[in-house]
Amino acid sequence: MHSGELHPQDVGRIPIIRLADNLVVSIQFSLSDRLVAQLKDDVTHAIDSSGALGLVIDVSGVDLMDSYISRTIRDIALVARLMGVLTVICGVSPLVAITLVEMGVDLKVVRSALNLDAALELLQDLRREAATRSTGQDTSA
Amino acid sequence: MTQPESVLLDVLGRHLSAVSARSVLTMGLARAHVDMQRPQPGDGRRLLHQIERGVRLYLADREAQDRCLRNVAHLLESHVEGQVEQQSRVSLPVNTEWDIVTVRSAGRSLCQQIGFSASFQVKVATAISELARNIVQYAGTGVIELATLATNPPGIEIVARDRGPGIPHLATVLSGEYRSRTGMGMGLRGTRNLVDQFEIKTAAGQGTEVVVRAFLT
Repeated sequence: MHSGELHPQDVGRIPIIRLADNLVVSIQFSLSDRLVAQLKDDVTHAIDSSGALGLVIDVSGVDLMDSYISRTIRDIALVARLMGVLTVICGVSPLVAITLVEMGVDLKVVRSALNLDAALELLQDLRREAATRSTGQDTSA
Repeated sequence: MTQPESVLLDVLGRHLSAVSARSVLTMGLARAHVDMQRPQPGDGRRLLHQIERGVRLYLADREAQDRCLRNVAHLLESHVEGQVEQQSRVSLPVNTEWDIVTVRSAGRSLCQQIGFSASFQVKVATAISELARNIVQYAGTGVIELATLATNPPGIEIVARDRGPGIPHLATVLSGEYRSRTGMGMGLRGTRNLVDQFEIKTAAGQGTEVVVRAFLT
């Protein structure tokens, strides 16, 4: 586990990286509420200004996701979808996954992948799928 | 005076005058920041160090000093550290959102120290995070108490206490029909789902106390 966790006070904001047509957010430390809320704003603006087609939220460094954090990640995905961007969350650790299921947190609206590679692949597949569909709308909801 | 304190005083009194013994003990407890009612890990070692300063000051003979300190060390080992084993309780203030992170890390370390499994650590830390957030968001300020339970199987108790406005419509909140903008319903229900025992006392204008216990399975 991540015992030497960085105090969130030391971290200004979470970097958002442009990778080909996608935005990648990799969270590698314990999340404070403010950091999560800040991320929501930053991602929304980044989508708007970058014209990216996909968003990956890599939480492989997150040792704990409570209801607020998971709710905000879900909100980010919902906002992104409204803006025409698909979101894939990846790197949920087994312990975090078990805890979320036990709590009854519903993250069904967010697609998920095992790791960053798989997430980028999934985004590509989803985009190809959407392109072949005449409506071009996501009907998974 | 607690029982371990009087036993300590007794031992010191065998080597020092009554007045000196009392002074060494009182100064030691104060300097080591030890509360015998609530012994914490590491208290024994710190207290011994402070008592040593006193004993070396009041007792002239080096051999007598060492004899006295050996007895004190032995006693501290069995009485203070032994008690920590059984029940250590820490009380942590929750005032800002940074405290949410601090408190849940403390809970995780506590579980780690005792040797609870990684999955149990995450479960406990998540429950603490939810309870601490409720304090910050709805009461502004409060405390989280963490205690290990020497039950079989062993467990951990988390008490979240605040003097905030209380939770109106508690039944609705816990039933899942209520959805706050900030997600409190989910937090409390999620916590209840995570732990083995969940008790909540809340009164309008008087605050809220949530007591949860989780046991290692």
